Amino acid sequence: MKSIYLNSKNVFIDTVNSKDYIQLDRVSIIYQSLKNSIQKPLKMILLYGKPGTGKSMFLTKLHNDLSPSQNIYLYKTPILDESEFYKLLAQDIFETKYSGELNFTQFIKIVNSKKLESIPVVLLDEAQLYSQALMEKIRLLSDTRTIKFVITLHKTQKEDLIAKEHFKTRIWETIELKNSSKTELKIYIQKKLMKANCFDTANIFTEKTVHKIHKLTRGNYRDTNKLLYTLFDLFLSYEERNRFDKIPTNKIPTKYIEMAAIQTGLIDA
Amino acid sequence: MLNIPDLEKRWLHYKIKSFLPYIITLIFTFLIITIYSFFDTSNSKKIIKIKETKNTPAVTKEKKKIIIQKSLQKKPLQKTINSSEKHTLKLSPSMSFIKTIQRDKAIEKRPVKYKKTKLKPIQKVEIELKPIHKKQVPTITIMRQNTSKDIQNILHRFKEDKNPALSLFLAKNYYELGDYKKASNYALITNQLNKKIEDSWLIFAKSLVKMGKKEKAIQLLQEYISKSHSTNAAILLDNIKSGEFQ
Repeated sequence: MKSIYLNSKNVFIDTVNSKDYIQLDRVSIIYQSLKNSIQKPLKMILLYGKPGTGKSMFLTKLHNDLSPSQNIYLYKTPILDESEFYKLLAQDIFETKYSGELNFTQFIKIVNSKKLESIPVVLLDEAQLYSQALMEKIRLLSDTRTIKFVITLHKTQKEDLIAKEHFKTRIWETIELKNSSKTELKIYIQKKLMKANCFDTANIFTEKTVHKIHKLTRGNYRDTNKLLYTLFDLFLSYEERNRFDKIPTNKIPTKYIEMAAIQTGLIDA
Repeated sequence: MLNIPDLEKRWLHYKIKSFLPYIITLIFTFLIITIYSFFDTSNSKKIIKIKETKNTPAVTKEKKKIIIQKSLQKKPLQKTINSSEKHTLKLSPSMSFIKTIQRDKAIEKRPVKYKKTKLKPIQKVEIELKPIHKKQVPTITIMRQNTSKDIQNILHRFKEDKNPALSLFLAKNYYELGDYKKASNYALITNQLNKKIEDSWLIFAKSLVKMGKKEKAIQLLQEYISKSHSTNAAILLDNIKSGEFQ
């Protein structure tokens, strides 16, 4: 018989899958706001927030939701080479294969030669990894109003600088994603588990347990996923060692949460 | 699969590490409170003592009275001793009991148990006799032991403060013991210290008679009678002359 903890553990594998998207009130409002912004004639939309706040998930969800009705292209991993970047966009958006080096001028020529019915939307994740020169080219591209860019940035001092210097006058909409509150975190955990039919494990997350998890992860979704994955892995390890007395039935002892936090590095022990 | 034993060990280490500052703080706080309270209580005790001595003398007096009254109720004999002590300190020692000793041989022969320590307790005993007779307390026993030691003690005291009462006591004691020479000497010393003490004249006269100096005794008594008109001296003179006292 498959352990319930194994299913629960797999729920918290850190993957960016739109199917795993959890509908939370505040997040839903933000998502709707982003969707509306895309419909507006904006040059560029900046989505920023700390790592693990769900930026990538947002872009994935947006891509999945809008792809049937709109020309939308998602680039999860940054294309660091400038020529490759232009070649990829030319191929995906304008269906133009280009052999050899493609520079910015040549790419603009392609963009101007191809007249599209609707403005394509390009979603660029981890934009902070793009070079400053390439970011400047992206700005120039967005100024032509032939391509709409939605970029995500990690909110750090460096990224703030990028935002200020390159997009200050050009970005029309900025959306910040924040860590979850305690209530949101509880809903997030329970919804995630119940979505995978792990009702028993969903019920053992009491207010106190979630409070402890929130304290350790500060409501960060990625850290929460990591912590809960390790927590269920811990229960599985006890189960495999036939130490059933250690496995909780109605609530999770703080000790196990702390042990999982030590294992994941959230606690420095 | 996780390395559970290692993880548990790490967790235990983490818990100790996280609680350590609190434990240290708690210990320090406890120590500070203990030290502070120790000094605080010692200071407050001093303040209370000062207050007691300065501000509440009436209360303490009242308390003392109450205590004395209580002790009187419980131990009436002790009260009489204390009160009589005060009288003896102020007045000159009464030697009338010696007379009674002389007259009443039965009392003289009674085995008297005597407290060893000082003369004052002896004086207490003298005065204690009165309440004993009055109240007829059967439990009191007067202890008198080792007369020669008592004499030595009184002799020592007399050398220190030259009290005529002591010298008279010595004279009487020596007279009782049959040492008439010493008795006459101490009677004379008493007389030199205070000529108004009648007993010193009488003991001196009696001692002279006992030493065979009857004429000298008669002469002495006549001189004293002419000055003091003492009836006791006159009686003694008649007794000597008639040969009743030898």
